[in-house]
Amino acid sequence: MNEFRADKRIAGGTVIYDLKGDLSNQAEEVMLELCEWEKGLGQGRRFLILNFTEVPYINSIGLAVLIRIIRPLLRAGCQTFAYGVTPHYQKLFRMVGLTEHMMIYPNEEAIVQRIEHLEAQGE
Amino acid sequence: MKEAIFEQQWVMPSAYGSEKAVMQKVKTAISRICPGEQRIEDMLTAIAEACLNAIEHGNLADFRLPVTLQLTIDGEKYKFRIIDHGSNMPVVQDELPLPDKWLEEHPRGWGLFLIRRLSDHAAFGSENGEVYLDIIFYR
Repeated sequence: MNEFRADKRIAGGTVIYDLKGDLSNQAEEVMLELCEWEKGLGQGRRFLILNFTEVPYINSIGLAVLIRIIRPLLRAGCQTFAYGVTPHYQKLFRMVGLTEHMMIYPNEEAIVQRIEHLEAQGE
Repeated sequence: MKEAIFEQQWVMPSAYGSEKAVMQKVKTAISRICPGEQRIEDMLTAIAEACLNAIEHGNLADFRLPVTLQLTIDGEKYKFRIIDHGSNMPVVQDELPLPDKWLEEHPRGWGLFLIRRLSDHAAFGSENGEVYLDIIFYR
């Protein structure tokens, strides 16, 4: 059984989740209960990074979970980034509109640089 | 219709995760028959989503009811037939535009959305009281 986990790290104004396992029905409850997404990321944090490096399989249930997380975060003024997404899953993310609201980068360092730039600009 | 060069069938229980196991079997079969197939990942996603639909909507996740996947490869196409035991043809609603779909309270129903975009042809049918979804990828 491929158990799903989401390990949390915090770096300044950014929350990072290292996702491990299949993003499918078994991940739905775990992901939706990680925090109260409607309230944002808490303590004034405005950036979420999702690390997909150890996510081998994403299905339509997983895509819907991502939408259900990103949607309230947008309303709360937070931005979501992702890395470690294979080209195939990047294609699926584009198809369902996720890439409109979740910027995909090749690695965490590139996202951190982008966030530092945004913070410097006061965005 | 061209002569089949490969035919195989897999049967799985109506349980979440079955679709992933069958993906691996299909991947092994196609990699052996048609090594280097460029659209293999699209095919695997499409059949996984079709199997999920069959499990959830066709068999109502009743573990006792099987889902059958048939693969036929001929000179011009890959044809996948996913069969469930739902006796009613699914009601396929018109797709909402993406922004509207995002506004739905529970934005599910992406399976058929993906299948249609990844494959060259997808159509439901029924035979002998069973419902099937045919998915075609041209070679």
